Amino acid sequence: MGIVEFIVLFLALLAVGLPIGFVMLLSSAAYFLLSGNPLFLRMLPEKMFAGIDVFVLMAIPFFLLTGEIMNRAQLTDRLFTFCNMLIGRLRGGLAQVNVLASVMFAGVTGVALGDVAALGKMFIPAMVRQGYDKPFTAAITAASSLIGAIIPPSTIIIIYAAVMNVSVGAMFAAAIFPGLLLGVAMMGVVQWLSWKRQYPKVHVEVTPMGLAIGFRDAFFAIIMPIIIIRGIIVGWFTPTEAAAICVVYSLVVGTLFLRTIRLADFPSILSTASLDTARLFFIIAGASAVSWVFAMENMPALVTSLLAGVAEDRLTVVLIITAFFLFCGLWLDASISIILFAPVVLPLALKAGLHPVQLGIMLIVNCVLGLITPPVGNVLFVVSNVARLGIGALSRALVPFIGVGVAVVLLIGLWPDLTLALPRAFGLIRP
Amino acid sequence: MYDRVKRLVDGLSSAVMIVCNVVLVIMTGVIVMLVTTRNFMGFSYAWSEELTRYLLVWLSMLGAAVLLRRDDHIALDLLPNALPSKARVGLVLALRLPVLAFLALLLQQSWLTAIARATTRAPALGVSISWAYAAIPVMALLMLVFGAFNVWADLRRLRGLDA
Repeated sequence: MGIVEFIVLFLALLAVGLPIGFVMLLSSAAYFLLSGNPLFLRMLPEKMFAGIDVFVLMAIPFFLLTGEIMNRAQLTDRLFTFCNMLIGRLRGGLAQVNVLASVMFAGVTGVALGDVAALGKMFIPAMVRQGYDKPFTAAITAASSLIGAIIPPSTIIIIYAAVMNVSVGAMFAAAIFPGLLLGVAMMGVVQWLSWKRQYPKVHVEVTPMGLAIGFRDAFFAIIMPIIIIRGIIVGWFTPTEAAAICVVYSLVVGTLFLRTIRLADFPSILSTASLDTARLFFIIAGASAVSWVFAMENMPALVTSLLAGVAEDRLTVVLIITAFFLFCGLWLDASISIILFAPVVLPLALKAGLHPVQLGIMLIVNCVLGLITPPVGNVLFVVSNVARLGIGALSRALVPFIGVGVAVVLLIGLWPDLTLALPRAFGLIRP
Repeated sequence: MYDRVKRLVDGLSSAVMIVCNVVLVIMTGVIVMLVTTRNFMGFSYAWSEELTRYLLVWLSMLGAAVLLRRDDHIALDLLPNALPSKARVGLVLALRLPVLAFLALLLQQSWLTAIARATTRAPALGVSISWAYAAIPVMALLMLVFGAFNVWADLRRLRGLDA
């Protein structure tokens, strides 16, 4: 069985609807069975084990648990109130509040899905009541939630760091500006559409007391990524330990300050976090089997030699990599694209002068866009469900947001300082 | 008969879920204690990293078995969703069979892998690392039970016995 047959089998199993983790495990098993050396089969459990048995990856269950606790603590409601007092009175105010609240919540969540269900249930009815059209309302909710997966903490960054062996601290620092830039770009789109379509402008009651309480609640969210990155730089803790500390932090905030979490909530909080962890790590186990097949077939060298002569300069390489990952993102989960293909494109990117950290952020923002691109995207599905809106209508409303997302991806690839300035200033990568 | 087996299978699935949750709590506790003792009491323990890594493997594998019972693994379900309900159940059922075959193979291979490691000791914990590798055959076994039961449930659905 060669690499071509392997890819055909992989795509066929994927298309008929076999769970993606089993697609990867079954096609790897078939590859080893049919490669004439059945002893290779013994490598399958070895690779599954090795893929998960990584200390850095342990940050993921902790960040998932933190996000879930903050979610149940109804931090999103508090952020909503605070952001509404800040910018709710602008034209298209509630849409701007949607983006700003997502940016703040991004500091406590490591995934996009973490806040989209909660924010969606709150924003979509509220915005429709004020007179926004539903497709726009759903689209901005879906698009802004992506920032949660980019601004630290971020599970996908941890996966990239584990696979590519780069520093989590450097990746976290590098993700901050691109994450904020994506937020600002989305606010720009919202402002432009609000003027064009004359979205509502409403009066918002602002009291100094309300603002003070709101600021305290928002502070809990904003301070968390700062504690993480500062703690890693100073050496208080490793990224994994930082994640465990975040669990304690979120518990303290949820039970002592916001007082919204009760003891009875814990079993379901833990179950959600456990199953989210297992869902992701089963995929990681499968992907590490497939990446071994890729390594046996020498894929990175193959791709580099295929594109040799075609793509040498930075612009072409960035365009090719971006187009390829966007295509993968249409079908595959972000973690799969990263584990399977980031090592494959690394030599190509290095030759074009990209830094591994810069490449990582570029790929991550790209793959995260896959969550809202049809035909398959987890955030797309959840929001379409919450908003009771068809995938088609939602996708059309998402076009401008996907557009600015792609622009940010290209900018990250072409402008090294956007990602590298902060980790360099913190001494996390060599100048 | 079916209902009795269903109760047993669901009980097993809930028990595994509880184990997962306990493992997650232990992992968090161990790491938090590690940070606390190192930063404030000036000592740390070397076994914590090993223990939590192995617990993570167990958490992932056991949780994956629960997800199989609930049909909650991530899948590209454009094709199944486009089919009428009876055909969809048929397709899902047909896809379970190669998975069961694979799981039987994985059970055998991962068991051999775990046995082969019996004499290798984890450097800090001092126990055989077979204990860590055993997570995969245990997952395969649980998945075989859950998967076989899901086949049974699908067959009943095809015959119109359940919704």
